[in-house]
Amino acid sequence: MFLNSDSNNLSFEKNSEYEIYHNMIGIFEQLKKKKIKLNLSDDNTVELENTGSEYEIRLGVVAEAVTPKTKLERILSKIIFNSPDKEFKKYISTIKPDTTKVQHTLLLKNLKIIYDILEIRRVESCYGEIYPGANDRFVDARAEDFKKEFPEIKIPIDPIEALRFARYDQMDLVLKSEFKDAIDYIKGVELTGKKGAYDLALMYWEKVVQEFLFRKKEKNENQALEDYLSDEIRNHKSKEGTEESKTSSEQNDDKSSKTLEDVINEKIEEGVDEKAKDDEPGTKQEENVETEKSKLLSDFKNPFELDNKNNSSFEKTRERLKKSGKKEISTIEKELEKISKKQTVQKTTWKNIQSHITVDTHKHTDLIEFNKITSKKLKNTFKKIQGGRMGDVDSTGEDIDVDAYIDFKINKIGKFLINSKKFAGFDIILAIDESSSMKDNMDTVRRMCATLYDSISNLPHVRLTIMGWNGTAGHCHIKKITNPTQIGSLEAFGETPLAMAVGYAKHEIEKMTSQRRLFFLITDGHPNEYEDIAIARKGIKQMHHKGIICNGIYVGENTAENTAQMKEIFLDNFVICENFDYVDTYLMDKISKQIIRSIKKVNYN
Amino acid sequence: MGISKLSKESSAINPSSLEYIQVVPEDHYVRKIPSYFETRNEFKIYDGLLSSRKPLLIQGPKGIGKTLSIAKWVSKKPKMPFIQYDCSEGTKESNLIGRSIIHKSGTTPFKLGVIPTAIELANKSKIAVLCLEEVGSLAPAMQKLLNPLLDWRSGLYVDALDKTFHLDADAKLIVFATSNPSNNGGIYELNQDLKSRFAIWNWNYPETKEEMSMVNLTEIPKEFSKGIFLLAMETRALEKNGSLDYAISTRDISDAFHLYRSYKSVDGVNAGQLVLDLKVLGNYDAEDQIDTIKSRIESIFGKEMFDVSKKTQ
Repeated sequence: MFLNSDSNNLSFEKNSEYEIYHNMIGIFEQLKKKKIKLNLSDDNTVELENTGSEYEIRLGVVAEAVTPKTKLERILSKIIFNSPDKEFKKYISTIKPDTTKVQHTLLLKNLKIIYDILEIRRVESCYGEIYPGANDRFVDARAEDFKKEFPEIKIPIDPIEALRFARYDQMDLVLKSEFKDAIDYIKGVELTGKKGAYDLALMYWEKVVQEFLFRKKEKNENQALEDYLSDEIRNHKSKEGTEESKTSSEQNDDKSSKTLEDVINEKIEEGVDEKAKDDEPGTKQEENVETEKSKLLSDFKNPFELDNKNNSSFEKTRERLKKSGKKEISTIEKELEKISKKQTVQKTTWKNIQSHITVDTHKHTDLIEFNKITSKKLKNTFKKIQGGRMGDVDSTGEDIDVDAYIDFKINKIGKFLINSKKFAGFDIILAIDESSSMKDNMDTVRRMCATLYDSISNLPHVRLTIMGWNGTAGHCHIKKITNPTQIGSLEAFGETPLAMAVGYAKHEIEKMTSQRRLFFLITDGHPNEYEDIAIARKGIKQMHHKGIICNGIYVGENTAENTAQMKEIFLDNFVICENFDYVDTYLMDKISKQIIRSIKKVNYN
Repeated sequence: MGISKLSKESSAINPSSLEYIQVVPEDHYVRKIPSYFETRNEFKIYDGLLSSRKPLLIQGPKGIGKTLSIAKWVSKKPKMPFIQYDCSEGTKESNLIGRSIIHKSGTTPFKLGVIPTAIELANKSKIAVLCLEEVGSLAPAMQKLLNPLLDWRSGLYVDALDKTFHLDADAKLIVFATSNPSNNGGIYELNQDLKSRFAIWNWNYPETKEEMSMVNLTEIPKEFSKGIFLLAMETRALEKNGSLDYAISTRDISDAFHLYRSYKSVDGVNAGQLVLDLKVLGNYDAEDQIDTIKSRIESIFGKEMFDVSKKTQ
């Protein structure tokens, strides 16, 4: 069983790691109609940045108990279920409690922690509702995360810790504590809508945390409260490193918004520093710090009026939020259904793109100088593949149309010999990005083209078509060069309409009759629209399936992003050329090798 | 199929002296057709063609019931001959127009191709249905041969017989054609002149709700069926953006459930795993695509789908 799977584990995720992650992201990009950039790194980080126009995920791929795929799905669940992180942060920043600055910072800090705990649970449950397999992994991951975060089993001693324990499914431990409500909140936030964690976090603070703080305060007005808060914050501080995946903006916030203890200490130190100028140093200064700290903490007065609008009970709120959650989950399912039916293919058909393409006329110019040595080398390669003609009928007789032959024998009319076939020979198509960013490289490109043209001269079965492409205002301009005297007309301006260029090239190549067709796309930039990459990839795949050998040549820095883009379009069939000065030798060498490899491949097939 | 008036000489020089194999309408009646769930009001629309006589081209992805709907509709009509032809890049003039064959009797009668056969059937039964499958895969020159049948001429000249096959005034030939989007099929696209002769109906994958009604869910666990539908949606989305070459169709889903029912009570076989292996994974060749689809299966059905120790229960 599972004829195609040869392992009893999930090692396939390592085999095509990039493809798997990318294809997952492809679905969610379509769901969100937004670009999701994925950067893989050799660590265990996972970060999400939402810039408004796109999402950027940084995913560490180091093998851990919690797999990168699980981490990625957690982040994706935040994206598709519209985590209101920014909205929540914005809202709590508007809260103006009648407290000191320190206490305000404490409030924001803890509210954010509560929200993060509830929100990650919410999105995991919503995502898990659609993908039960992923949900199982989330459950396993929670157990792993808990073990990592709390090596020793203990009973939670404060409401935030209890909430965290409940989030990690440690219900037994929470039940032993005095914060059983935490379980209700964790269960309550599951399968809720966008405002699930938002509303419940505020409610949890108001109804559970605040109540606890008052209770504590009443119990021990001064020192006890200080002890408690210090412990609590210390706990939070130690846990932050392993908390649920946070956005990088959140992480920045974490750096700026210090824990209560940090803030208190800083404030006290500021105050003490001033006094210390007058007072004697040593033990007295330490005593001052402790006294000030106690004084500040004893001022911890509340309540904060968090959510005046929402006075409903927990049960009512939960029901309301679950209803919206159900709606959101079904919306995602419907969206998925929609994209699975969307006629994106139609956008890339020749009929749809041809009205956006103009094939420009070009002037004949002076001949461009070329590299004679490279040309000679390439000529030798091309000679091997130039091909020829086959006879009318081969020894196996396969070139007789048997039906037509019978007709001929009976009726004495018609032709039964199949026309002689051309075989081998090459069509080489070079699609060159002529966008404005190629300005500095155009001389070299022209020289490369001239060299290629010289190398195929006098070889009738090797044909070279050069196609310059660029765009303006959603329109693609194509310059088709079929003669060396036209090379000089290649010039750089405009945008990078990648999808249309590939669409045009595909249309042209499919019309070509040679058995071996080799397509090179040379570019130095990113396309105008992110959909272009997917459309280009589709075009390249379709060409590949029709036996056209496709290669990409990226001119520019060898960064992870550029590599990822090329890999996305061409899989492994691309080269990155960092320095255009070496293009004559470097690219020619690649082209030459590619051709030889292609011959082997064609012969083998 | 009978042979009438076979020519006495096997090498007649005058084409008009050449006889052809007669068509028999009874041979073309539709027999057993699987169940079909009507979702687009298809049958009423097909009924309309009886009066309009306009050829209809149905475009849409594979496995969504384009041909089945036509066959089902025909099966509801008594004594309506149905001729179905699978077009391909290799379809030749002899397939469409006809050719001489060497008969076991030693004679060389002319065997009509699909176009004159359809006309003859319509003339004999007064009504017939021709369905050209994957018409977009025909070479442009072959597409041209269909033109006279589809316009006011309603006929075709066969030069080998020196005869024009005409549709009688009281006869009706309903012509259907089906086609997949150009990226799925062969290397050709439909000629504009051929396309303009058709009324064109674009079909898409049905809504999940409808798709669930179209397949037999008997004895299929809810979680499994839900997962298969979700997987199908994902493969369709991934196929659209070029990540996968194959999208799971309604037909695949129906077959998968059929397989599941067949194997669910077989000892030592995990029917769910087997179905996913045979009806889903089996459709992919490229390693990266296999890994992608495995990953999606894992997210939907859980990791035990790849755990050898749990394969047999």
